Formats: sequence, C-alpha cells, structure tokens
Amino acid sequence: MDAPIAPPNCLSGVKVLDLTQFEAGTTCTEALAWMGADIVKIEPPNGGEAGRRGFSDPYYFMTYNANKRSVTVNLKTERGLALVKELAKKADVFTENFAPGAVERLGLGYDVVSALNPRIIYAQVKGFGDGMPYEKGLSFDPVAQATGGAMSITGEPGGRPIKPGCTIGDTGTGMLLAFSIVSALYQRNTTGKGRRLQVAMQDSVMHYSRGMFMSQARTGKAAPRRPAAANTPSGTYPCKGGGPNDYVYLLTSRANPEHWPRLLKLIGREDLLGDKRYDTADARVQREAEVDEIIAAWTRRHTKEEAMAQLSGAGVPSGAVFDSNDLVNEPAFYRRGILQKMQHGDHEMAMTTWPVRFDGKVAPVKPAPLLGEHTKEALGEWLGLSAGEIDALKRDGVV
Amino acid sequence: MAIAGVELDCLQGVRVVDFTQFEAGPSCTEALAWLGAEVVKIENPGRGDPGRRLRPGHPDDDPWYFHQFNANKKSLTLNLKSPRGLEIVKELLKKADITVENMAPGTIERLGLGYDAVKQLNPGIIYCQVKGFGAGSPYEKNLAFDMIAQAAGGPTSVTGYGDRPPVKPGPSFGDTGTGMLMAISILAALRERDRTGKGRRLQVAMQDAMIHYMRVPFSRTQLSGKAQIRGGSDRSQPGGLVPSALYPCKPGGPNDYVYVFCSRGNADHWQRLLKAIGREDLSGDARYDTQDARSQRAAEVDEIIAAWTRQHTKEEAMKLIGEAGVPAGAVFDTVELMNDPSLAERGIMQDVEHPTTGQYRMPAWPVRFDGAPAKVKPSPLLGQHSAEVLRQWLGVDEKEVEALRAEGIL
Repeated sequence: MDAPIAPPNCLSGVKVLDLTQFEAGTTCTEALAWMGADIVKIEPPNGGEAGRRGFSDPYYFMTYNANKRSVTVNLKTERGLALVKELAKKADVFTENFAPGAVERLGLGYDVVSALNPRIIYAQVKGFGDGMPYEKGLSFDPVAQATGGAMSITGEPGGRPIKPGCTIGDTGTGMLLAFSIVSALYQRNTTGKGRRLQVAMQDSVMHYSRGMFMSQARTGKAAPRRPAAANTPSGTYPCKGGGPNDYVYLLTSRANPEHWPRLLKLIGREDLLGDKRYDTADARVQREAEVDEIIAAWTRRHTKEEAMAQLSGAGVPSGAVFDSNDLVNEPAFYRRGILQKMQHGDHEMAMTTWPVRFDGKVAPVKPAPLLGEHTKEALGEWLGLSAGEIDALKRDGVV
Repeated sequence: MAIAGVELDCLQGVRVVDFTQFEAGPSCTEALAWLGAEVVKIENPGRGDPGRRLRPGHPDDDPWYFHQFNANKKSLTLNLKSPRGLEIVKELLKKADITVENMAPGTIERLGLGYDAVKQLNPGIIYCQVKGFGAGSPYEKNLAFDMIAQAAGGPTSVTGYGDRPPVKPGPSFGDTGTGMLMAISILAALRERDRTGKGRRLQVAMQDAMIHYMRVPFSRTQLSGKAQIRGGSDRSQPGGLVPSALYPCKPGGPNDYVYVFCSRGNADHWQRLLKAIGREDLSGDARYDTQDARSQRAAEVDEIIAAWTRQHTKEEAMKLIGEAGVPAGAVFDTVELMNDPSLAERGIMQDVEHPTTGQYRMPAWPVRFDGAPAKVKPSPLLGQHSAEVLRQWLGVDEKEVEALRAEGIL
C-alpha cells in the first residue's frame, strides 16, 4: 500500500521571503512550506547559505530546507538590494535569523521593510531578547540550551550538566515562530495589517522546560537534574543485548494507581501485590533502589523491543530507547509516510516530513533546492522579470 | 520598566472545545489561548484534569503543574458519562471552530465523540488528536507520557555519555514539543477553513514529533550509516567540532559551567576566542589554527579554554567571551532564570495572581508581537466558567445551570 501522502495546501498562496540560515530560522520556514506556503530562500550567489557548507554535511542543509525554492541575490550590490525590496513588496512574510544588527546593516531592518509593505509579517529569531544583558551575544543551539535552563536539568544525579542531544534550541524556537506567524496571518485577514514578531532562543528553551519551574515552585530550590524521589519506578532499565541503547523507559504514573499492580503481574511478582512497602507511590519513593532492582531483574532477561511490547500490552507506559539507526530502519515510518525517501543531486536520503497528519495524510517531502535553482522561476512569478532581464542580472553578478 | 503582557487578539473569536489533559494537549490549547482564542476546557466535575493533582504527597492539589499549561483558559465541568452531559458537549461542538483531545487510544470514540460523530455535527470543525504513537505504528495502542516519547522517538539515545546508560533530556518537549507542532497545524487548517468552509482532521504522534526535534542526529546517521551515539557535553569530541563543550567555572557548583562553541561556519570565532582568553600567542599556530587541526587535538584545546574559564564565574565567562563575538552560554538553573530581572522586565516571566495559590511567576508565550508578549492570566479553578460559557455559547440560563449542577451533570 502506498504511504498516505498528500500536500495539505492550507497555506497555499502565502509568499515567504526567507533570509534564514542554519536551523532555528530554516525549520520555521520549512514548516510553513510543508503546509503549502511558497518559500523563496534568498542566498548569496557565492556558496549560498552558511548551512550548505558550514557542517561539511549535505544532509544538514537538505534536512532543513525541503520544499523551498532557492533564489540567489547578491545583497551587497545596490541592484541586488533593490530586487529584494521589490520581492518584499510582494511577500506576506519576511523571516531572518542573522547575528544581532546584521539585517539592519544590510538595509532590510523592520522599519525599512514595514514601510515598503505595511501588510508584511516581519519575523526575527535572535539568541537573546533585546533588553537582555547579553542581547548582542551570538547563539547556536547549545548556547540556547545552556542559558535557557535545559542543561541544568539534564544529566545523572550528582553529575555534570549534559546537553540534550536534540536541537530544541533551534527547531524548538523555529516552531514557536511558525505558530506565531500563522496567527498573525490569520489576524491580518481582518485587520489588513502586518506585525513584527521577535523570538529569542533562550526564551524558547524555557518554554519547552516549564516543568522545571514547577519543581522550583514546590521546593524553592533550583530544579535538579533528575527530580529525586519524585516518582518510582520511572527511568531507564537495562535490557538484554547490553548495547549502549539497550534500555527501556518505564514508569507508573501517580495519576493511575493501577500501573503498579499491572507491572507486578507482568514480571511475575504477584507476591508483592498489596505489600505495604511498595503499594503506594509515596512508599515506593522511599525504596527506590529496591524497586529498581525488582524491575531490572526482569528487564535484563528481555530485549528492549520485547520489554516494550509486553509492558505496553499489560497497560504500563513504556518506551524502548530507540536510536537514530533503529528509527531510520523502522518500516512502519515509511508505510505511514512519516519517513520518505528524498533524492537531492547525487544523494538519496530518508527524511522526516511534517509529523502532523491532515485528514490522515502527511505532506510530501520535496528535496531542498540546489543553490539558485529557482532564481529564474521565482523572479519571473513574483516580479514578472523576463528571462532576458534575469540573464543580464546574472552577468552583472547581481543574482 | 517592565513590559506588561498585552492581550494578543490574533485569534479573537476563535472557539476551542478542549478535552486535553496533562501537558501534550494543554500546551497546544494554551498557545491558542495566549494568542487570543477562547479555550473552554471540559473537565470531569469530580476531580478535573489529572494534571491538577500530580504533586507528590498531595494527591489532590498540584497547582504548579496545572498553572503552567492551563493559563488563559476557561474551565467548564461536565459529566460526559451522563446522556445530558454528552448532549451539552455536542451542542458546544456545533459552535466550535476547533476541538483537541489527547486521551488514551480509543477513549474519545468510546465517549461517542470520535471524528466521524463530531464531523457530522459540525463539518467545519478542525478535529485534533495527540497520541503517543501513530495509527499504523506497531505501538499504536500504547500509552505514552513525555519520557516514553523521548525514549521511543530517539532523544534519550543521544543524551548522556556513550559508555554509560542514556539520560532522559530534562525539558519536556515530548509533551510541549508535540503540542507546538499541533498548534501550528491547527492555524494553517483554520486559515484554509475560512476560505473553503471545510474542517480537517489533524493527528500527531508524540514519537513522530520527537524525531522532528532530533533531525541533526538523523542527518548524521544518513552520513555514517550508524546510530548517532551520545557524546556527553563535558569535552569536545575528537574528530568533531572543537571547541564545543561545557567548561568548568568558578566556584565549582553543580551548574557552574559555560558552553563555548566555535562554528564551522565562521573561522573568526577561534581567533576572537584566543584574544578573549589572553592566548594571542596561539594565533596562527598551525596546531590549532583550523577546525581540522583542532579536531585532532580536542583534549589540548579543551584544557587551554578550561584553564581560563576556571578563573571566572559562568556569568563573567559568558559576558567576556560573548562580547568578543564567540557563542557562549552559561548553564543557568531555574532559580537564576526565575530571578533574572531582565526576563521579568521583558515580560517573558510574568507574575500572576491566582485566587487560591496567590502570586506566582511563570514564563509567557516567548514570541513578542510588535514588541510585547502575551499577557498571562491564571489557570481556571475547576468549573469556574461553567455558567458563563453555557450562557454565552448556548444561551442556557442561570436556573437551568442550577438544575444541571443539582443533577451532577455540571
């Protein structure tokens, strides 16, 4: 059966002038692209966006720029800048995530662009908000995760802080901005007016880490790396095979007292049913090491997949620790269209699409553009430039 | 002066019937509420959302968790197991633009409020579901919480040290991360509905959403054909980007570290860093001058930087290195963030007055609209808005509300 793939088209007709680079900005416009917007990515003719080569990794760029169009324009030439201003007049959304001050130095700051097009949604990502003591600081994902609190709550109890391996500083920020852009577009239907949107990566990381503030509110102390004695059992348990990711995460929720007896029955420890030492969440917390060993004695005899299947079958929340290779080789993701094969130049890659399904179907992934691939097409469509005019601009080094 | 939050009225007039609980769903509808939608949370008259009572040792009272994810919403209590309660919620659904649920698999259908039933009542509705695993996944019936999604979606595998057990990332993006993806999709569908008149069914799985936040490890796996293994954060990875690690700071407390990073995209970062730490003597030294050279000498490079950071607090280190034009971030903990005056001045942290909890401080929607953040209003008391919503949406009068209350329906 073919994977259920169909373009959502919800944002068809929305024109985005995209000056983003790396990940925090590009994930935002990619999400808009997946939902049907026309993303015109402006890149310098010489080498393109920094993310194309910064990581000596073609997959990095492909991952964050699917379904977009690439137009090369030299913004340091007068005519190149004029051309981008013409594009801004036609656009619904303008996005950028340059270093602080850079977009203004280019001559494309908020005041300039909103004067050209009062209907435009002007959206910016920075590392830190203006008004912060480090507002001029450069930021990349790990810097945002350090300063937004994520690292302070990640690690082993008593150990050093650890950076979460996923890029919530970047992609997480991009998602908050994408949501805000679509809200502002929605409002513009009635007001006809654009808005200025600004998001800081530090602030965004806090948004994804709000559980830490409730821990602090309860105790008055900085939230620890692992909330000691918050819930038992809750954690990763070792599984058969003994490899670096052969673990299963399981927990018994405080909100459902049935999870614990279900777990005991599954692991053949009915003898502990009703035993006061373990019967309530608060009692188990007092005997965390004992409880962990009771469970580990069982998980060690099973692979992580078996353990997850049996635990879940018994109604206990559990998840095997799947690594990137386990996931990329899981056939169900391809059947469901969440992973799709994409061809980009000489590379084939498996890539995730926008993970929300619309009427049962997911958006098709189209390969990230080659540098300048759509210069002719997009300038023709947005500005009505002829092939001859574009060739002349090319000769002059403007596009 | 502090920027007070403003009422962001982008979604004014948009009505949401909210069946969500815990965090994955509530973070989504809270985002809609912050941007101006009217979010009516449907709760069980007895105890409400289980997210109201997760505090260890206080099974009936956990204001903190609930406040975080339910600000700016209304609460309507309704017994969905009574025929009259079900009837009332169906009337509400007819008036709604959006409905969202994240109950265990199969539950909403058993309540008689599955997609087909609701679509019949209101073909224009955006019907949204968050589950742990996607329909068609081998685990589609499984229960899921944040930690389960982070294990099964990959983030746990890339967090921690390679030779030690994996570590669950502290942030709950298994929940909030999923909620945000749904929120974006809802608005896209809403925009389309305003033109076509047709609703949409939206579904997201927490496992799938996790992969969306770890696409860098995915892109590495494509390149290497191997699982991306966690590398800790206490040292730069030999053969990888150098420097890129947490460096120890004065006075050596559990969070006294600063992350320092030199981008591959900008060769100047290294030169600037040498200047900031007073090691201009190494400028032009072939052993360290290029990214490739440094990646062969990761431990040496780390020690050059650590020798300097150990003499500074994390705040000083961040300021001095950051101002030199090198990415640097101190590891701030919750107390430091909560008490950071500039976060409060910018309205990113707001103080809220709650009728029973009193004053508490919480982070607001972090995107600023025309310079101002959304205003945070306290999470609702259980059933606080039952009468108001029934009157405004359905024209139910005070007397009938009293009768419904007496029968245990509200």
